[in-house]
Amino acid sequence: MKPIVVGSLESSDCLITLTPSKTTTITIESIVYDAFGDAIEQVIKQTLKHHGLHDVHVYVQDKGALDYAIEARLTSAIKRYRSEADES
Amino acid sequence: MRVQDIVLDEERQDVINFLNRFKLGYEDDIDTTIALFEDNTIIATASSSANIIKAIAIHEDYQGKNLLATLMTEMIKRLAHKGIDHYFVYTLDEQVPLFKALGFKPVVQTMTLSVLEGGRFIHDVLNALVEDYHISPYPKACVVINANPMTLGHYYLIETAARENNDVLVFVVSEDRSVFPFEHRFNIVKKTCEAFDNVTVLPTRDYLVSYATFPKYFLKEETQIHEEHALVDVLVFKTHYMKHFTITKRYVGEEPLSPMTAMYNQTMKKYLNDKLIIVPRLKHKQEIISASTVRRLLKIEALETVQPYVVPATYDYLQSKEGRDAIAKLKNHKTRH
Repeated sequence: MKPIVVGSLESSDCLITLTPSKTTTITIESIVYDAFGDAIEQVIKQTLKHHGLHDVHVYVQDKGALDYAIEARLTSAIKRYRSEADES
Repeated sequence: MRVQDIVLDEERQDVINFLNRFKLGYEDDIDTTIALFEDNTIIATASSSANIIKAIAIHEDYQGKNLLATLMTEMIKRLAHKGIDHYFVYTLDEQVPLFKALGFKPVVQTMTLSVLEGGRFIHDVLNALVEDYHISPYPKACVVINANPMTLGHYYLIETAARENNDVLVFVVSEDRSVFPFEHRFNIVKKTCEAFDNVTVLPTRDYLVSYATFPKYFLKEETQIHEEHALVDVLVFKTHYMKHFTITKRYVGEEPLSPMTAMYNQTMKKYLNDKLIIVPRLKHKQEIISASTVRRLLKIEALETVQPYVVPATYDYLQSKEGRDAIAKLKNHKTRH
């Protein structure tokens, strides 16, 4: 299955890549990692849990996106991931 | 501003002219090009060749507006669409901070350029390999082979390393750009190496003698290369593989035939010094045993003629359906591999 990429690398946004994985793994690259790395991880985990998605690798390239922007990006990535997974 | 995929030849010529102003070339292995337009004028462009992003330029008047973020976002999405989630950028040292700000991480740096990667990172990829193959923390020797296909020369090289060392790693090139598919090459090497109890066979993954670290290796046989083309690969080996796998020696076959491999060996010698062991080539009658000789013979001669050159597992494979398919592919194949 092809990786799903959603979002952008523009300021105050984030680029999220979803790929299938043996277990759920999260990698976060952020310009504000020291201050908000944990908070971003929490948003990712909660959003995955909310949608009941696991066994994916979530790769986040964050450019200072706010919580709800990250959640919205990930939600649309999850939807596309699901529809792509259904097709293949 | 609009983003556009460049498909028409005349559009491509505009991109080439734009790049020329920055003294940048447009290499013919490029498969995807995008450009940003403002009032029908190109203000920025980027291209990719497989998993390498290159030919990136931004108009002077538009620099400092973070157009690089737009270019990279668009490129990463196009690569994902092709199933690529691990990508590389070759760039000048002074541009490195710009890419780092977008989440890219440096792989190696030569005197003239830097290689960065995104999507996946060498530290994680190699650590996973160390875990999956239960690699010990003790000193070891290694051999890196494409084995396209595996010959008695490869066997001799591994045997020599296995005799002189306690622990030997045999890396088989993962990049699938050769006539014989990776899976088949890997299985033949693995089966053949069962004869040694101190040899571990593993894949190189995305870095060693890969398209990303050594793109020129996969071009035509007669391609002339310079030291800098081989250097990235050699530095990746030296700074990452040797460290992660505690490798203290690398064994290679002497190279009297291919100028490209000879240059690769020469570059390795320069940077690895006494850690590089060059083993003389095995001969059959007067002819040097090499995979390229075997490929040449398979193209024009009967299958039996290659038997004195290859290991039994290769010969068995060549007689199988998969092997016969690969030979058929080889017969109408023009590039080096």
